[in-house]
Amino acid sequence: MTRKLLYVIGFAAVLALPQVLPEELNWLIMLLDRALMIAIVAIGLNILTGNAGQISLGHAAFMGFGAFVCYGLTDIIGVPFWFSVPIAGFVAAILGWGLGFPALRLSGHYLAIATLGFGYAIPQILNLFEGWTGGWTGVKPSVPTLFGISFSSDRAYFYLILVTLVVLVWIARNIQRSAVGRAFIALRDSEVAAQAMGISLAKYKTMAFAISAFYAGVAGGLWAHWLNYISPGNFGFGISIELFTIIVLGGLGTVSGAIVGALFLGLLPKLTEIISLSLQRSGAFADSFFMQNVFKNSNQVLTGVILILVVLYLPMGLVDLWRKARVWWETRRQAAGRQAVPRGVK
Amino acid sequence: MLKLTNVSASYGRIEALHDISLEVPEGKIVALLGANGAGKTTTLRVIAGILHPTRGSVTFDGRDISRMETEEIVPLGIAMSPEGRQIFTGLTVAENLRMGSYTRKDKAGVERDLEWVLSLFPRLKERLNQVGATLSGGEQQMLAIARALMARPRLLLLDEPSLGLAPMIVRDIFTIIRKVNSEGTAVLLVEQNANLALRTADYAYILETGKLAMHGPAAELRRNPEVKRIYLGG
Repeated sequence: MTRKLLYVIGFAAVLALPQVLPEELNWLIMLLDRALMIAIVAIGLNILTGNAGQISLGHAAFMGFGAFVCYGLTDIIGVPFWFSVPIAGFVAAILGWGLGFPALRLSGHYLAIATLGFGYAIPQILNLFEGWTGGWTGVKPSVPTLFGISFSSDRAYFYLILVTLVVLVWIARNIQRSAVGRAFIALRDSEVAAQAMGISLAKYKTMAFAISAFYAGVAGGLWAHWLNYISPGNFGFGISIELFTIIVLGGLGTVSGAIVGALFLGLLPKLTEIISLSLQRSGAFADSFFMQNVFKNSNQVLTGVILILVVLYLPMGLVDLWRKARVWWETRRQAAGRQAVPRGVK
Repeated sequence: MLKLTNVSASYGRIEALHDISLEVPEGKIVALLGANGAGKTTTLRVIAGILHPTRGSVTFDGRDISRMETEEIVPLGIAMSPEGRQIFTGLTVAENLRMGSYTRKDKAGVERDLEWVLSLFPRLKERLNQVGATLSGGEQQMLAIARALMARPRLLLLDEPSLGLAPMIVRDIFTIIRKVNSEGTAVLLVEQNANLALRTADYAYILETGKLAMHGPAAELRRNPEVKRIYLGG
């Protein structure tokens, strides 16, 4: 009961966030929007990599593909935005399903290299269709309007992303708890045994790729009409690696891990930047050219150090912190309970 | 019930099985013996449909299954417990068992078989909600066999059930294999421990570098001087 209440309060706080944040914190809303869209892709990637055990280092390509499909449908053909976002997901899913076939013959490092190649190839291919994608100059997707409301601000768009996220979280949880989800884990843990149980590797590997590509496609569609500028070159290796880092950092195979990881990695650079700036302005070592340079570059170093510390001390991901905290709390309470009874009293 | 006729199979260009013919009759335990690399596991893989033969035929109840996929073969009544246990470490014991009945649609039958399997392996019953990774080696082997039994097979393929286990646990596991067999399930047993296999089986085949070297009733092979010298250590 208290747990449910906590969820309700938490969700209400999230809903109120864009309303209560002052103007000066517009950058925070912008970062949150971006992080939550990346979280959607990460949830899909976590089903593929965390649950089904198939690595992908080219997932940004699905996002980019979804972005251009959504743009093409909405702004070239004239399909309503709310309809073209899921369509972008499905079209990306077909591409993902197709990539699943070469993945049947590859695993581990080789699959990593193959998906990396895919991630490089898709932007190049998109670039060829200048009439659709604008080539390297890119295109400008429109600001979406739903029920007469224009989603031009980051604050308004926040709700659009949130609704999509909630629906996709619900779907992901259901997939993980279903027979399909168990089949994914089975083929991750032992392909031979999964096959021996009558689980079709071809069916479930391609399905895992399709599902994760669907998530990337939907997020790409939202991304296109949020940023209002997309170019094939924007969906390269950098975002793919960011996605991979997020699921490992947050916690492999869990929905919450993908979201926590995306928020953490999305906000961490800004946090270290603030630290770096306040160090520079503090006046410490003001006459040391060397130390001032150290302060100036400390944000990137700090980000790196924090990432290394998280991986070192929370190898199961940031979500494991929650479990660890609970264990610590329980043992503390038990210890306190023992002390409360004085010795010799029965 | 199961019949392999002149079966050859290869991994890429390397031939692993050459012209193998063998038979598993209804309700019997048949052992498949041989040194490392003789082709025992490959034979099981061909029967289970994980590897397709390059020549020859595999029939089950007179039906050719050599071109069928595993997911079509399991419902016919052939289940395999693979070498090295290969349990799903991220799933609980209960979920592992459910994976064994993945191709089955009869819910009531699955529930009944779950009870039956747990009565065979009471150790697993105590660990139902434990994740597979936390089981001991012996328990993992029990789970691997129990999982295969959840498919309700008429033919059980066992690949090295004694691998890396203490003698006492091996004895327990073989007692259960005999019990399962006495309830009507035929068993094709791949084993390095030739002595134990020949004591358990009704009939045995011996493979040597992908070819059939010898076959006969298990009791007879046990007395064969050549088998004694090479496989039974004396």
